[in-house]
Order: sequence, then structure tokens, then C-alpha cells
Amino acid sequence: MKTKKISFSKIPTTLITLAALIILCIVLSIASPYFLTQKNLVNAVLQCTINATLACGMTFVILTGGIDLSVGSVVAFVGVMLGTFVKGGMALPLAIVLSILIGGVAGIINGLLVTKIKLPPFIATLGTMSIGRGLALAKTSGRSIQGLGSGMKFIGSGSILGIPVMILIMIVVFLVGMFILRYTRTGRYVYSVGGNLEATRLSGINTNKYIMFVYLFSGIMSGIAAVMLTGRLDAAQPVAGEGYEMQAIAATVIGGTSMTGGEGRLSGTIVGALFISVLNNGLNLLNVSSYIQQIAIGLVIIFAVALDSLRSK
Amino acid sequence: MFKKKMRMAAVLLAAGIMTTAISGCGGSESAPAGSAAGADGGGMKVGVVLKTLSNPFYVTMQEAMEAKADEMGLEMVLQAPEAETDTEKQMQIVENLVVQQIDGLVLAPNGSAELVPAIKKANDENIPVVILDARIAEEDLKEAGAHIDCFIGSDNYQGGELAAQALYDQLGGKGKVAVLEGISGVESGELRVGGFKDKLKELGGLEIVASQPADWDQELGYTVFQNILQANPDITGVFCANDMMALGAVKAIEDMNLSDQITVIGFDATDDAKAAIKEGRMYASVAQSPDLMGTTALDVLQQLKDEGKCEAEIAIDVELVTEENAG
Repeated sequence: MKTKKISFSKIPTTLITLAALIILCIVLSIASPYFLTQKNLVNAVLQCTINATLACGMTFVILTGGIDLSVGSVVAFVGVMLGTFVKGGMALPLAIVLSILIGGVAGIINGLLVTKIKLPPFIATLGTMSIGRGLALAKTSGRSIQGLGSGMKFIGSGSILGIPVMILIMIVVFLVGMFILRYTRTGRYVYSVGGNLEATRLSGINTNKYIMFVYLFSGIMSGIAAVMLTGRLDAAQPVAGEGYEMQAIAATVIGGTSMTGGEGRLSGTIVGALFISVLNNGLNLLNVSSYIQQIAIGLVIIFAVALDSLRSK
Repeated sequence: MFKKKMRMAAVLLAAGIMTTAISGCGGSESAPAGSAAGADGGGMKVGVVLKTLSNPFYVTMQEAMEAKADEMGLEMVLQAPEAETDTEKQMQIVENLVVQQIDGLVLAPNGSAELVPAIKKANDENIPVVILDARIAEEDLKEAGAHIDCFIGSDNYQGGELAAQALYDQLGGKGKVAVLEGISGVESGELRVGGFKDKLKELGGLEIVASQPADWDQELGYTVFQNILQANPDITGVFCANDMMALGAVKAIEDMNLSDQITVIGFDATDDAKAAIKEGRMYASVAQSPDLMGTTALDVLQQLKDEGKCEAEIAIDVELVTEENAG
């Protein structure tokens, strides 16, 4: 803090979310003797990785003022495709790349519906959400695909240099996302599309290209999340990922990204995802029922957004 | 202006923490007693993960287990995901239980393989694992190097036998009957149908003229049974491996005005089925005992602690529900 007089509204939202996370951690470590153990903290981070990855894509979409409700279903569909590929004897690296591409294709479909057919993002992705789930169920007749071998298990529960692979994937995903948003033209235009679509278009920028990009990016993130989830469970489940879209939106919003677009940071999103996961983990440790956990998450979302709108007044 | 905003923010933050703290206090009421007991080697701390608490079957199980835990002086931490299909959430709960140094884990898994990594984590900490209600595939356990200590499930085979006896008695020991099976390959369904067929063969007199899968589904139960009726209009009884299919069959029978001719027996004794039984549209169903299933799990963990061993598999008795005991 170099300046003495610092206005509250100028403190980055990320810092406030981070402060809230730290306070939450302090409260939990007093309330439960198990919270502040290494194993538990690793658990809490591990449990946020899939949601954080989805929320990374979601942040891009929400920055343009859009929304992607299809992520959970895409996770399920990509997961069963991955399971089918692996069971069919395809080499694992190829199967994984192909699966992530399928996620990307789903994203492109969302993008086309939004930019070419001019559907509101909510409706377009509501539709693909239902289609994705249906495809996943139809492909497997509702059954899960199990026993995918040591390679998938390594992704889900292995570690490199003592750090779980899931956490490493999440870190790479965020570094890439942050790089795009901060240092590339694409990143800047994602913000300006969300900030003022008309003005951006009138200044001669092909806004549709950047809107396409965010849905593609979100689709790829869903693909990566599907690989992670399938590895974690060592099985592909057509009913997996239900409600993941809401979790991802929650992480994004708690992290300070504005639903109207143009404002937000990925650093906030990762803290938001961690916050949700720590809260769930802590309430688990304190033997609070899952119903109360849902209430708590709901309150946090409302607090976070209320705080944001108070600050921006 | 700045001060006002700051105060507002502080209030919101404080409220947030309060919420967390309050819900924390509510939930941890039994913690001190448990940790004290754990230290002197008395009551165990048991983690229980059910499929969901939005299905009455598991709520009954939960209530019975809570009462039993009190009686045994156990500290029990019981949690469940919102959705009965959510395996990842179950895995998170197991992870969070394992770090609490529980002395035993009871798990009603939402998938036959997805929870294997979670079981492995409990194995790694030498926490005994009792699986409830739905089986974990043996080969998946073996492949992951994981193991369970006990499986407790309903005696589905006995349920099939009960249904066969009831149908035999009701039909006076003669006539043509049909069977609606579950999804092929699913163990509980195979056992139910197996018990039914074996018992009928033993009793003699009744002839099974059709036995087809209707995949646990009410709609399919309706169409498959319609087809069976077309081919065999003189059927007098049907056994369905679950109540959904039975209710579908009931609908088909009512459409053809054959209610007086055909006796329907289902399985699970769901509320819908019980209502149909009371209205006389269905004859009987086979009820499982979630309460007994749950309390047996706690007994097994205690036995494991005291004697170091337990049976690898326990089948819980089922009972026939007819108009008299449909509640």
C-alpha cells in the first residue's frame, strides 16, 4: 500500500475475496482440529480443481456478458466419449486430445448459436446443456464406463514431485487463461466486447470472433475438466457433472467478475473456487449437512455480489 | 462516504462469518464427547456416507443409525450428496471424513466403480470399510489394490422366493405367469428373478410363459407387459423385479380390463406401490429394511474393532407387503 488515502472501491475485488478466504480459514482452523492439517488442505485444493477449471472458461464467457450453462453436460458427454475411446483401445494421449477437442466443438456450437443465430446465450446453452446430457445418456444407455486403466488413474490421483496432477492441470489452465486475458489482443477485446459491445463493433472490431472464442475456450475447459473428473473417479458417468455450471458461475461471481461483463479477473475466480471448496470442506469437517452447505454457498454468493454492487456505486 | 461503505462491507463480512460459525456450532455438538471417548479407546468415531437424503429409504436408514449410534455410544458423522447419482461429491465427503481420523467408514455407494479411489484412500489409512446397499465391483477393487471389509445388502434372492410363494398361494397353485426383469446384468434384479424362478420350480404347478427385461422402467413395464398379454391372454399372475415396472404392468392390465384376472407382485414397496396395494390394484410388493441395514453396519464395525474380523457379506431379511401391512 503505497498511497495513504486509498478508497475502498479501489481495493481490487480479488484482495477482498482473498481476505474473506483467509478469515474463513482462520475460523475453520479454530472450529475443527482437522482443518489445518496438510492432508486436509490438499483435499480442499484438490476438490476445487474441476470447478476452478470450468470457472476459468466461465469467466471468459461472463466477461463478454454471456453465460455457458452447458459445461456440466459437456463434461458428462466428453467423459463418456473418453471412456469409449479408452475402452476401444485408443492410445491414451490421443484419446485425451480428441476428448478435449470434442469439448471445443461443443463450444463452437454454442458460439455459432450465439453469434450466427443470435440466440441469447442463456437459451443457446440451455439447449446444448439438455442435448449434451441426452447424448451422454444415449451413448451409454445410462450406464457408466468403468476401469479405464492406470493412465487415467494417474491423472486423477497421481502426483508429480509431490503435487497432485489435478492441481498441476488447474495451475497450467489458469496460467494460460491469465496470459490470454492480460497479454494478448484477444484478451483485451474480450473485455471490451463485454464492456460495450456496440462501441467495440463500431470501432471496426469483429466482435463475433471474440464471442466465438470465449465459448470455444469454455468448451475446451469443459473437455479438460471431463478428463480430470473421469480420472478422479476412474470411470465415466453419463450423469456426472450435474449442477457444475452453477458451481462454476458461483466461483466466477464470488471472485468478483461482473455478470454484465467487462469486469473481472481470473485471479479472483481461482480464489472464488477455492472459497467454495474450503467452505464445503470445512462444513463437512464440522458435520454440517449438505443442505446447510447449499444455504451457506447461496449466502456467500449474495454477499459477494452485494459487496460488489455497493462498491461500484 | 468511504466510511459508510466500509462499515457496510464489514457488516456483510461479519454476517458471513457468523453464518459459518453458527452452522458450525450446530453441527459439532457431539464432537467433544466423541474425541474424549476416542482418546480412552471407548466409543468409536464412525463416518457414514449415504446415497442421498432426498430419498425416504435413506432417511429411514439415517434415523435408525443415529438412534443406534447413541445407544452404542458411538460418535457418528453422517453425510450425503444432494443427488443419488453424485459420485464425485461422495468422494469429497469420504476424503473429508478420512482426514478426521474416523475409526470406520460406512458407504452406500452411488456407483459400482466410481467410489473405488475413495475406498482406496480409506484403505491407505487403515480405516475399515463397510459397503451398504449397493455393491462395489470386485474386479475394480482388485485392480485398484483396494478392499472392503463387509458388504451388507438386502437378501434379494429371498425376496424373489417370498414373491413366488405369495403368488403361488394367491393363484391356488396353478396358472400361467410372467416375469418382468430389470436391466440385464444388474445383480439385484438377477437375484430377485432367480429366487422367484427357483422357488416356483420347487413349488411346481405354475408355469412361467414369459420373462423379459423392462429395465426397471415404468413406461417399459407398460409396453413390455402389453406385448406379453397380446401373446398370452390367459396369464393370471406377474412378478416384477421392481415396483416401477409393476406399476407399468398394472396400467397395461387396467387398460385391457383384466384387473380381476391378473395378480401383480412388485419389489421395493415404494410409496406409490403401497398406495396401489391399498387400492387393490396391485397384490403385493417386497420391502427391504433400510433401518436394519444401517444398524447392522454399525454392529459390524464394532465387531471388527472388538474381534478383528467380520463376515464378508451379510444379507438383510426382506418382507412381503400386502394389503394388511401396507401402512
